[in-house]
Amino acid sequence: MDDIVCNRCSLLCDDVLAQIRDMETKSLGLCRLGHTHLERVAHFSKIDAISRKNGVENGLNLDEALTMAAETLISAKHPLLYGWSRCTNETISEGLSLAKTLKAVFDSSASMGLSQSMSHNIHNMKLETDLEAVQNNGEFIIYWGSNPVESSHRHASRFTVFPRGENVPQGVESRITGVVDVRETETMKMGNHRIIIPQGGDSELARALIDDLTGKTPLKTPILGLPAATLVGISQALRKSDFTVIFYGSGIINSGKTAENLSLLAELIQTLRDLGKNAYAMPMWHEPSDMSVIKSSKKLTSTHLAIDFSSGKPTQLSAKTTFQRLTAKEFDVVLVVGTDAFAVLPGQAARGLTSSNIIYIGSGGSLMDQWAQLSLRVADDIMSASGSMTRIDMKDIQLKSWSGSKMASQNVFDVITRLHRLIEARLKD
Amino acid sequence: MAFATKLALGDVNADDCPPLLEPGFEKNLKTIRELTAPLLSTAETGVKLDEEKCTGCGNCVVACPVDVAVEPPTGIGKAARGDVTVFRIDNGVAKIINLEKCRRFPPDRLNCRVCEQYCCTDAIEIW
Ligand code: SF4
Ligand code: SF4
Ligand code: SF4
Repeated sequence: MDDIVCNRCSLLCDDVLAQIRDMETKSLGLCRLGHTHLERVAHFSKIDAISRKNGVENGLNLDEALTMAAETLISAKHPLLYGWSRCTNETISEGLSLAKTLKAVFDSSASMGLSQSMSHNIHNMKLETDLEAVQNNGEFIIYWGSNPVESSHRHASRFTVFPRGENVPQGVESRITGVVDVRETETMKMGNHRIIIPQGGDSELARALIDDLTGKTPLKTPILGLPAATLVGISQALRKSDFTVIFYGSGIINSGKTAENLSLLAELIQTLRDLGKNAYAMPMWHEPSDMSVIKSSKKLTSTHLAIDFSSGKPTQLSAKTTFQRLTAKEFDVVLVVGTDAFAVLPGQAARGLTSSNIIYIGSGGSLMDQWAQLSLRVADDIMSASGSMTRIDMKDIQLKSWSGSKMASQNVFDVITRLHRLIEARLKD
Repeated sequence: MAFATKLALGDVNADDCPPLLEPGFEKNLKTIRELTAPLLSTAETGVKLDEEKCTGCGNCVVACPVDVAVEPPTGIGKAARGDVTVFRIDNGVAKIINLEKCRRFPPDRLNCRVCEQYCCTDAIEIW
């Protein structure tokens, strides 16, 4: 078996092995999500392109497909470049550069929440720590509105709750785990402190803990229907821990009160720091390339949000979001890269997308692949494995070429780069 | 590890605690011996894994004390890659590949249930 890097979720596990022989996919260490993903894309590594018009499909070679894609994008009035899930940093940089050439809008699934949270002041609090630091030092791990058992299967076993580390030599026995959510989740099974709060109660809980920790209002009465003793338990654990990390998830990010919730978490972290403790917050977000999009976009503008190149300069998409513009059918041509956009976009925006001329570059078999007017099927980056990706803690992980890579003649990066060069050449003529 | 945790795991017994053997603690020693007696041996036991429920999270791999002893990188969260551990994640789900090494079986016969305790999907069942 060969060493590989799994690109199915934002943990980018790089301690796993895989082998493909006689059409059979085997792996060691990949979780169910990772293995299923590898199995699926392993059989779609051959390049193929299809154009669709009036219900008629035509097979194309790569050159023909690239020419057709270039012509369509050049003639577009309002092009959108969307997707970029599971793409490498190099592909995303090339995509941003293509968006600039085309004066297009560039957006990704990161703008469905992660971008807003990464733009919040909480991430100006020197929160930079990485998952290895959590593994080595994390004493109190809090999953707040996040459920790794559902979407980042190996989060707890690789980095947070279970592994031994330099300052937590007994692993799970040296750590305390807290889980805060609006319902009972499977993650709660590993929690020493399990806090179920009413919907929207996050900021009130954080405020109560802050007021207890600062001595302003000691916890003596029930809050949010939780007994004072339960809350005192979590407050005492915070006071005792020298290294606390809050992994906040969609319960915070997509709560409709993102800014307020994050401000309170920031205040809680500051309170702990004022008590002489190490305290951090990190997002839990499973889309594997969203942090890479955020990192690359930040190099061009001060924003983490969608970038509009229509003026020739990168600016934050203003007035309307991409979703609103998709819903209003404002994009005549949409280049979707590496993402099954129908599966990730909210209903109205997905419906709006169907009225655009769609060019898709990504692995075969997805809804997008079956719908797009032009579909260029390429190998998934778990197969081609060249370049790097950015993990949820902003750490770059280099993909590892393996025997499966030989089955992947071209990857998304090669195709986007060729498309961009072709468009540049045509625009010059 | 705190003595109490070791006691609960069956790694030590009440007689391993010197203060308990001192005069005046006879009653405490008797009580703790009685309380921990069932932990010291598991005559009939088994570990069952429901692959349908398993997500391949690896909690069992990293938490099992045998795995950590026989393949130390698992102790720091790495995937089990050899064939010496009790658990290994094969093709996305956990497999018990060396059940006989589980500490519930002879010669240890300890009342360990760590894997079951931390399997969030209840895929592991111990009896
Ligand atoms: S946790 Fe994520 S990166 Fe790791 S093996 Fe599972 S899907 Fe892949
Ligand atoms: S019962 Fe203990 S020793 Fe046996 S497999 Fe589970 S964790 Fe390992
Ligand atoms: S802890 Fe449970 S769900 Fe996780 S790998 Fe082990 S058996 Fe599967």
